[in-house]
Amino acid sequence: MDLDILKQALASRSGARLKMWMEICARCGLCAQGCHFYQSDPRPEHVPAYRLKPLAELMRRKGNVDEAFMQELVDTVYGTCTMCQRCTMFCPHGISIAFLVRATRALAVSQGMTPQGLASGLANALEFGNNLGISEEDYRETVEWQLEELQAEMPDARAPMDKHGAEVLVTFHPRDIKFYPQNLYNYLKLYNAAGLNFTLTSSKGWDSTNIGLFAGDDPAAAELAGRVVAAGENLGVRTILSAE
Amino acid sequence: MTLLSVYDFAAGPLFAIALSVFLLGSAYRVLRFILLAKKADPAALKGFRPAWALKSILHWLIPANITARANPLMTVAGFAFHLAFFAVALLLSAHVVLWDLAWNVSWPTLPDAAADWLTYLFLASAAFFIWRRLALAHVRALTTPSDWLVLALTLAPMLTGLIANRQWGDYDLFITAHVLSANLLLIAAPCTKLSHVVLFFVSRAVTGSDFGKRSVGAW
Repeated sequence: MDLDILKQALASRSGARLKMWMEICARCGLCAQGCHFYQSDPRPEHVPAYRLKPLAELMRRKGNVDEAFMQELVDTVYGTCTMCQRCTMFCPHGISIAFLVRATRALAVSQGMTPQGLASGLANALEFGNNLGISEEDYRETVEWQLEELQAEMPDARAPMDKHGAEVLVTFHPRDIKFYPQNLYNYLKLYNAAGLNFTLTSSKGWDSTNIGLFAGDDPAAAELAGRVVAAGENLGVRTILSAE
Repeated sequence: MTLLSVYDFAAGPLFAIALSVFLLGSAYRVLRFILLAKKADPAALKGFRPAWALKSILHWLIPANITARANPLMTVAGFAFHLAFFAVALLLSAHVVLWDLAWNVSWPTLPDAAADWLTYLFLASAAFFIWRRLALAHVRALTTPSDWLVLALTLAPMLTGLIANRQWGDYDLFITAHVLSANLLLIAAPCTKLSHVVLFFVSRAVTGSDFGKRSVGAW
């Protein structure tokens, strides 16, 4: 634990929205209706507003907390929220709880407390360009393999790689490359059938999932998003099709 | 110091101070949001879309939203609570008379019987809120001491006002308690979660703009 870094992280996150939303939350619990955690397991800890408790307490103590506190914070903001934003639709004040959860995650990140699974995915994403650590060679081979399969059904099908001047850059969730190549097959079939002028990229921008954003790690999130943008700009496309 | 002199002070200079604190404090809360956003959270302003912001505010000022459909009882209680409070505070004839005496301004008033019924409605809604906080496990888990304090702050002027108006107890005592508690509420509003009296509009504008940007409906 480095309290100075934690306090810095808290200060840098305490912007206009965070301060407003932390104050006006009425703790009415209406957000529970929107939460899939609460709907499937209606425990009080699964009410979206409950996820603001660690941040509220941390603000009250001005960052003077111990490791056990931070561990509980990590369990709450990583373990009970997917940041889907559905609770915001139910909040009379329109409080973005996901925004506050992400700010709280950033505090955990500042202490190197990103949960193991996320941390290794993030390290993969930064090193290999995708969170499953797929090599460029494996990526290219998977695309070629699925294209060949598709061409048996659709002889004119194409999957252009790094085609300058295409209109759309198609990006993927690495899961679709590593575990569900059938999805890749279906995407290619759809885009070919639709006559879309598209391209793939062999650069590290092919994975458009942003695990840095999800983890609450802003520099990593900016780096990952920057790669996708750079891939699109280098190829001169008009649109980037983001992965699910 | 007699009770009457306390009343005179509370309804005179103290009220002027409390109302100023409320008005200036509320304005400051909005100004602070804008200044803070400019300094440290530019994304909050950059995404502002006036049409979406307005739509979002309107859909929640009237019960035309997903929560109103999902929680009709809470919606009825919430609207009754707020509408009754503002109607009685602004339109009670005894209040308007005081404005008339002090500033020579006047406006239409509620019949006293209607004001009484609105106050009962307010108290029933407040009772429902209290029941919710105690009985529903997920609301109980969220509730902090400040939630009880703020609820007590809003309840006090309405309850003491009713008792004084109906002359159920020692009138001088309850009318003094009424004016004092109303002043306390005005002073507390800008620095507690009651600041939603103005920040509701700011927050809904921000979130409405954000939802509008994604074309998912601003409410």
